[in-house]
Amino acid sequence: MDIAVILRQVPDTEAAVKPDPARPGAILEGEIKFVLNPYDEYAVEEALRITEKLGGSAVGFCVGPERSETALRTALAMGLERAVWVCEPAAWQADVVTQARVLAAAIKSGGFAPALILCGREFIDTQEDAMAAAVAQALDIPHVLGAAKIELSDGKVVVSREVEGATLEIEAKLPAAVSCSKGLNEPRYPTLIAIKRSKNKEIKKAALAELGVDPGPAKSKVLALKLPPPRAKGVRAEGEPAAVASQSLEWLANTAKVI
Amino acid sequence: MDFEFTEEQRMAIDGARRFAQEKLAPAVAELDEKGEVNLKALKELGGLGYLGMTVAEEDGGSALGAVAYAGSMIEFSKVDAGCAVAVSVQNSLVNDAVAHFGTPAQRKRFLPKLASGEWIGCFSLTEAGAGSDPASMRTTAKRQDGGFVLNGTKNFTTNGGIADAIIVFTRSEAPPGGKPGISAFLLTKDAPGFKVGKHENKMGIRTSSTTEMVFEDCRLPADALLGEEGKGLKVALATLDGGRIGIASQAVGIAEGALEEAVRYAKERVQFGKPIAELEGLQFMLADMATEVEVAKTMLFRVAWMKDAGKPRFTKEAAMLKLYASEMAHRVCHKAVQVHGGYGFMKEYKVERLYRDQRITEIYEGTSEIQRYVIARSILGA
Amino acid sequence: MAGIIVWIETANGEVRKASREAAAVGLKLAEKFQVPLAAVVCGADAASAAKLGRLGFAKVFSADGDALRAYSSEAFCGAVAEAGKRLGADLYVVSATALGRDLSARLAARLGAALATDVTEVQWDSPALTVVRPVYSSKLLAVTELCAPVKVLSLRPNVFPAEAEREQTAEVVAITPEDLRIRAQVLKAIQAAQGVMDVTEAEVIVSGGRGVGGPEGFKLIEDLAKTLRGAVGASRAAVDAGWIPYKHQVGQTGKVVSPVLYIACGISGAIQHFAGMGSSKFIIAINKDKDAPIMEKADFAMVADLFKVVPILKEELAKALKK
Repeated sequence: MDIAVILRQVPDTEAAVKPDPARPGAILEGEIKFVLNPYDEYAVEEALRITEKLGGSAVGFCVGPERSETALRTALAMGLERAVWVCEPAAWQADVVTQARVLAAAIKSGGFAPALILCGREFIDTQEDAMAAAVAQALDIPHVLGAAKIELSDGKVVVSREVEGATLEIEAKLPAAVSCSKGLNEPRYPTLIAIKRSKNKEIKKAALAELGVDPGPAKSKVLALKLPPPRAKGVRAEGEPAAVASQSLEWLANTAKVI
Repeated sequence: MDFEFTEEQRMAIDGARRFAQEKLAPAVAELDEKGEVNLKALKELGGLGYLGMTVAEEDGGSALGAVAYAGSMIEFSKVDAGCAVAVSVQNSLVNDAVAHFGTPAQRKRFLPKLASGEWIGCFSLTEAGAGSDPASMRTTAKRQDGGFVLNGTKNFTTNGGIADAIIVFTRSEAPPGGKPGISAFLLTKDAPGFKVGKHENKMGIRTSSTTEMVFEDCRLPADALLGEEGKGLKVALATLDGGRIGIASQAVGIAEGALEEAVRYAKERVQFGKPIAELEGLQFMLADMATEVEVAKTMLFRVAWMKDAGKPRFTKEAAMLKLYASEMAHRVCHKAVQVHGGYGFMKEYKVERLYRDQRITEIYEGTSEIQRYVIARSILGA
Repeated sequence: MAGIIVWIETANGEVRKASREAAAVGLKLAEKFQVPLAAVVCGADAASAAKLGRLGFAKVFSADGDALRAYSSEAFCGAVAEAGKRLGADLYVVSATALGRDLSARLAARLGAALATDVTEVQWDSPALTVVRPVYSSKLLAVTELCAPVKVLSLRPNVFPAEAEREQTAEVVAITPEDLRIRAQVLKAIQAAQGVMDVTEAEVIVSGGRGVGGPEGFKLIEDLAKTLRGAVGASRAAVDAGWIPYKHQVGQTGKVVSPVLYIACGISGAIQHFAGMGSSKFIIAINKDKDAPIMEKADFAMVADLFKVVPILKEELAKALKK
C-alpha cells in the first residue's frame, strides 16, 4: 500500500519567536532552530509501520522554503523512501487551502497513487489543522482528522478520534486523507546508520508550472504578529496550608468572583 | 578550515539531544538518588548506534566519527552524566581498543555486539595501589596449559556491574629472554574465576556503575590476549588519548548544562525587585562561564577532528583538552551553584547534581596532574 | 460582504454552547456589514430548528435526512454550502469545536475560501474582515485580514460571549444538499462516562502535573474538580508518565482550553503547557517551587504542598458552594 506523508518544517517549540520588524507577518529566523513538525512524526511513523507490514512505498511531500530540507532529511532518516518538495515562494507563502492544491497536484504527479495520505494533526507554527481536509477536497477523497488509532481493512480505513465528550470511530473509503494525533504511536528515533543512508535518498523539487497549479491572489494577509497582552501581575500566597487555602477562597470570591 | 557540522553530524547530535531530553531527563533525578544505572536507555542508545560511533560499519558500528561522538556526548552529559560516561567508556575505551588491537577473530566476536549495545563493555585498569601509576599494578597473569591464569583485584571500574565484555590489564611474566610487562586481556563476564566485587557508593555520576573486578584463578585461553603480550601499556595509553575526548565532552556537557540552568534561573529569580540577571556582577559571572564553555568546546571539536582526520597521535592536545575542559567545568559548576544561592545547594535543583557529577572529570582517565605531566613532557621534548 | 451563514452544532438534540457564541458573533458581523444572516442546522427536526430563532436568527436552513443524522464532513459540508448558496452568503462562521474545525477546513477547501481557524478576536473597527488568532504555540497573535471573495471563520470556544436567548421564532427552510455521498461515516460514538466533562468544554479545569507524583495523586485532582463541577486536565509530563490518559492533556500536544478558571497543581508551566491554557480567564497555580514559571503567570499563586492544600481547598469550597 502506497502512502503519501505531508511534511512541514516548523520552529522548535522551545524557540523564542519574535516578530520581524522589517517583514510584517514574519518572524525573525536568525537564531531559531527548525525541526520537523512534531505531529508529522506520528504520520511518518504510522506510514512506516503500515508499509513495513503491508509493503508499498511511503513518500514525503512538502511545500516549504529552502530551509525545509533538514526536516525532509529527518523524515527520510526515519525511513521514508523519498520526498517531493515544492519550494517556490508562491507556493509556501500561500494559504493552507492553496498549499493543499499544490500538494494534491504533487501527490498525483509521476503516476503515484497512494491509498492513504497522512499528515500531522496540526502545524505548530500557524496552528492550523485544516491540511488533511483541504488536500482530501482537492483530491476529491474523504478525510478524517485527529486520528488516535488507524486500522486498515480491505479498501477501508477505520479511525478513532476524540471529540468533545466522546470518542468517534469513523470509517472512510480508501483512498483517504487522515491527520495524526499524539497517542497514535511512538515515533522512532532515526538510527545513526539511517541518518547516513538518508543522504542518498532522493529529494525531488517540483515546480508549480510543471504541476499546473496557479496559486492565484492571496486569500488572506497576516497584517502583523503581536505579542499577547501580558497577564496582570498576580497575587502570591505563602505559609501554612490552611491560611493559603483560605486566602485563595477569598480571592476566588472577591477578586475573580468565580464562587 | 571548516567549523560547520556536516548534515549527518548535526542530525546525530540533534538525535542525542532529543533522546537525552525524552528518555534520560525524566528518570535521572531518581536514579541519581538511588545510585542506579538507566540500563534500558543505554541499551536503546546501542540500538540507535550511539554505542558504536567510531566502529566501522563492517564491524557493526555506525562510524559517524569522533566529532559527532563528542557532540552527542555533550548532550547526554548535560542531562545524565552517569549515562554519558557509560557511553564514553564503550566508545572510546572498549570499542577503540578492540578495533585497534584486537585480532580479526576478536573484532568479529566483540565489535558487533558492543557497537549495538547487546554487550556493555568496561576497561579495568586501576587498582587500589595503582592509580596514576598503572605500571605498579599487582594483578597477575601467569601462563598455564597454553593459556593464562589471572589473579588480583581491580577497582573503580566504570560499567563494571553491567559489563558483558571486559578489558583487563595485568602484570605478565617475562617472555623467554624478555622483561616482565603489562598485558591486556579481553574476556566475557562468564569467564571462570571472574566475579564483580564491591559496588562503589559515589559522590557524583551516581547513575553509572563503578565496581571492583575480582579475578581468582581466572582461566583464559591464549586468544584472550588483547595486543601483544607485555605490550599492554601501549594499548592503555593509546586508548586513553581517545578516552580523553570522551571525558572532555562529558565535562563540556556538564558545564554547558550548568550554564543553561544558571542563565534560566538568573532570568527567573527576582531579588531587589528585579531579576538577578539584571545585576552586573551576575552578568559578568555568566559571561565568564559562557566564554569558558565556548573555549573548551572549540578545543574539543578540534581534537575530535584530529582523530577523525586520522592524525596518528594527539596525546598532547588530548591531555590539554581534558585538563582544561574538566577544570573549566569545575569553575563553571561552582559559579552556577553560586548563581542559584541557597537553592543551588538543594537536591531539587539540577545544578546540585551537575556540581557533584563534574568533580570526577578532573580525576578519572588521568588526573589533572597527570595531564600536566604529559603536556610538560611533550613541550619540553622529554 | 453579501450574507453570513452560521453553522449550529447540536449534541444530543441540544445546541452546543460554543454554537451560541458563534451565533452572537454572526449577529454582530451581520450588523457590522449590514448583510442578511441565517443559521444552518443538520439532522434537527423542524420544531428545534425553529427554536434557533431564540439565538437571534430570522431564518434557519434545516437539512435533515438519514445522511445527516450523524456527522459526516462531506454531507454536512454540502448542507452548509447549499444554505450559503440559497442565502447568497460569502461568509461562514462556525465554532472551533472538533467537528467545527473539521467542517470549516473541508468547506473552505470546497469553496476556495479564505480560512481563519481558532479565532480569538474580531477587529470590529476594521473596515475589512480582520481577525486575531494565536500562532507559534500561542507565543504570538496573528492579525489576519481575510481578502478572498468567500471566507470561513472558526471561533475558539469559551472566548466570545454567548448570545442571550430571546423570544423569536425563525422561518425554517428545509434544504437538501445535492451531493450526499458519504465516504467517511461515524460507525460509533463512545460517550464519555456520565459526569466526566471534557476539558475543552469545561468552565473550570483542575489540572495535575509532575508534582502530583502518580496516578493516586490524581484522585485529589479529581475530587477538587468534582467539587467545582469542572474537568480534570493534565500536563504532558503526567500523561507521558502514564498517570492519566492522553485525552486529559492540556497544551501544545494536547488540547487548547479557555476555561474561566484553571487550577494548575504541581505543574511547572512550560511554554508548551501555556500554549494550551494561556487564554484561561483566571489561573491559579499550586506549586512547592516558588520559581516555577507557572507562578509568574498565575493570577493567584500558592507556594504550597498540593497534597496539603488541595484537600483543604476542596473541603472549604464544598462548604462555600453549599451556601
